[in-house]
Amino acid sequence: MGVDLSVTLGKIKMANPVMVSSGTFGCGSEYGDLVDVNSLGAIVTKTVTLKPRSGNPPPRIAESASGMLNAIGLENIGIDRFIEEKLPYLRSLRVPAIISIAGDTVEEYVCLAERLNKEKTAALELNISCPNVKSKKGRMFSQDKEGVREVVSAVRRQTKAVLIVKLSPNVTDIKEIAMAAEEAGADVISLVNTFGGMLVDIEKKVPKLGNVTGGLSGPAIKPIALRMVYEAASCVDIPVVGQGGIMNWEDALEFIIVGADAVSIGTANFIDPRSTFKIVEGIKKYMAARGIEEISGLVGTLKINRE
Amino acid sequence: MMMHQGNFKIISNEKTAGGCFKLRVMAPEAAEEARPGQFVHLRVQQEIDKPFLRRPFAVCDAIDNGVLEILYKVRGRGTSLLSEKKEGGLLDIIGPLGNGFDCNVGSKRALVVAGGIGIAPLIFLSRKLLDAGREVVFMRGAVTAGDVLCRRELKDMKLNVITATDDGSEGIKSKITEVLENYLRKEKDKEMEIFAAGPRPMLKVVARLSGEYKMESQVSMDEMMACGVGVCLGCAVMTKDGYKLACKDGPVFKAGDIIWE
Ligand SMILES: Cc1cc2nc3c(=O)[nH]c(=O)nc-3n(C[C@H](O)[C@H](O)[C@H](O)COP(=O)(O)OP(=O)(O)OC[C@H]3O[C@@H](n4cnc5c(N)ncnc54)[C@H](O)[C@@H]3O)c2cc1C
Ligand SMILES: Cc1cc2nc3c(=O)[nH]c(=O)nc-3n(C[C@H](O)[C@H](O)[C@H](O)COP(=O)(O)O)c2cc1C
Ligand code: FES
Repeated sequence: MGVDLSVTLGKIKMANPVMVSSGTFGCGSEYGDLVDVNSLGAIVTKTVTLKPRSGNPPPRIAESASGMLNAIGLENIGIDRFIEEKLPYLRSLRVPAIISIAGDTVEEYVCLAERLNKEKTAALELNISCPNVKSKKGRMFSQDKEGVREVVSAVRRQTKAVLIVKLSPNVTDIKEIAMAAEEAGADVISLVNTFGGMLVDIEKKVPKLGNVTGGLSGPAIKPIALRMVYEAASCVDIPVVGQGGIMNWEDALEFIIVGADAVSIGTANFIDPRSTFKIVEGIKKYMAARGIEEISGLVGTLKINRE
Repeated sequence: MMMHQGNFKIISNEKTAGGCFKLRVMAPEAAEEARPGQFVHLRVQQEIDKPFLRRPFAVCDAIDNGVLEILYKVRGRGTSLLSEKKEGGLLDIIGPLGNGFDCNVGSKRALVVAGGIGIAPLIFLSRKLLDAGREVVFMRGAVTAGDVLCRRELKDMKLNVITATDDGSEGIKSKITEVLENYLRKEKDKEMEIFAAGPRPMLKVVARLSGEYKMESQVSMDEMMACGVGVCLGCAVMTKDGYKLACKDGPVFKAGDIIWE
């Protein structure tokens, strides 16, 4: 039996619901020797900022139980070089490329959206949730409703591109944040980014990261990420991209069943660059075995018996 | 140049000196393309944890018959699991990765400086240098005689080996960097070039010496890695031109380009 895995996020048409997360797949070409990039659902590029950023001092990564901490600090080449050096390759792909952007101020986000508008980029992901950089107010935009509303509505006014808003899990009530993003004009929400964390070297009594704290990713965060995707999906009408610790097709299905329209694979790429391919195959088999013809027939099918 | 990923067959995995093991895998695609100083990224087990990430190891040798050799020291969970791997088993390998040493230039005498397990990439390097007709002086440092590595590999090669141990139980009783310094002082009129791998403090001294003696030197840097291919930006090394990636721009750098702190 043939199964239809295609999904539409806003106006982004994807052949399957498995995308790769920002910061874990470069700008697409790096894994080209190992992965057929055109078999992905979509690519989200490493977050780009207005000016180049050199990133945080090393060590920038540390391993932990079932996961890793990172404090890369959004190292990137800046929007000018990105447009010149990375965009042509991304345009040559048959799969949608979603450009992840971040700024320190609302004006910077707007300016980035403007620049990419001129390049006719079809989709943007607003990274308002990087734990390793802070706005002047000392917090992430995604940590309160007002911050979310302010930045999302400003970018919305600027662009007709599909707007994905990437949310932080480092909040008290994810529902309130998800709804604020929807009201402010997001076409899609994506969650979660990494959880703030730290590790200490007990011999030297120093933090294991140069930046002291960083963001936790990988299977260690999956149950929490899943709970947050479940909560967010239950209170918005726009599509939801679920991510956080997905390592295999079973994990991916959990996210889809709790309400994610698509899933995004991050840290798992480092462990096995072919994870995405295996996840697509696994979902296909699962559907075929159960006679499910369309992936939409699985989204949000969680059964809760509250007797 | 291309990287490969595959499940390659283990030919042998034998204990050598100093808590180290020599692993040999049949990996023709990777072995054919490997250059000295490049590394491979191993997944030591298929479960999700312990350890979670892949582990990088230098290519210790890549022989014409498709065999890739790795020399590793048991340090923690990953390497101890690796040491339990049996002949005939499969190992998930990505490689070859990184830039490797630039060993095609000139005819200068090559001073190869190995600190402890840092010796691994320098075996392959020395073989290539000798093949190219270069004169090689191999300086090998270890803590004690029991830790002296690659006796057999070096015996088979036509090069001058100088060994130093911290406790004097074999060779000269001295730090390998002191051996290098004495050598440079004596031979300073010769045209020479340094290749080094080992602990960071050792490489820092090599960098200082090569500056003092106005000599080119290439060092292989050991950094924590996640992806190994240049996407996570986790393996940053500070250089004169800003941060570079050990997995992609390195692991081999010109010693003079690194900012050592
Ligand atoms: C490019 C490159 C080439 C390498 N080549 C070799 C090689 O040829 N042979 C070899 O034995 N080792 C090599 N290493 C180091 C090797 O990757 C580590 O020893 C290994 O990852 C340790 O894994 P583990 O799970 O056993 O130890 P863990 O439990 O992760 O750590 C045990 C101890 O080892 C230290 N350690 C962990 N990772 C590294 C690292 N990347 N560099 C230095 N210390 C580390 C930790 O700080 C800790 O003290 C190389 C590293 C790099 C980056
Ligand atoms: C090394 C690393 C770099 C990351 N860089 C970014 C980034 O630039 N922008 C962003 O929005 N998220 C970034 N992330 C977060 C991931 O996109 C993803 O949301 C998070 O890791 C959770 O998913 P995972 O557990 O599947 O990795 C990064 C994660 C890692 C591990
Ligand atoms: S290890 Fe990921 S960029 Fe070097």
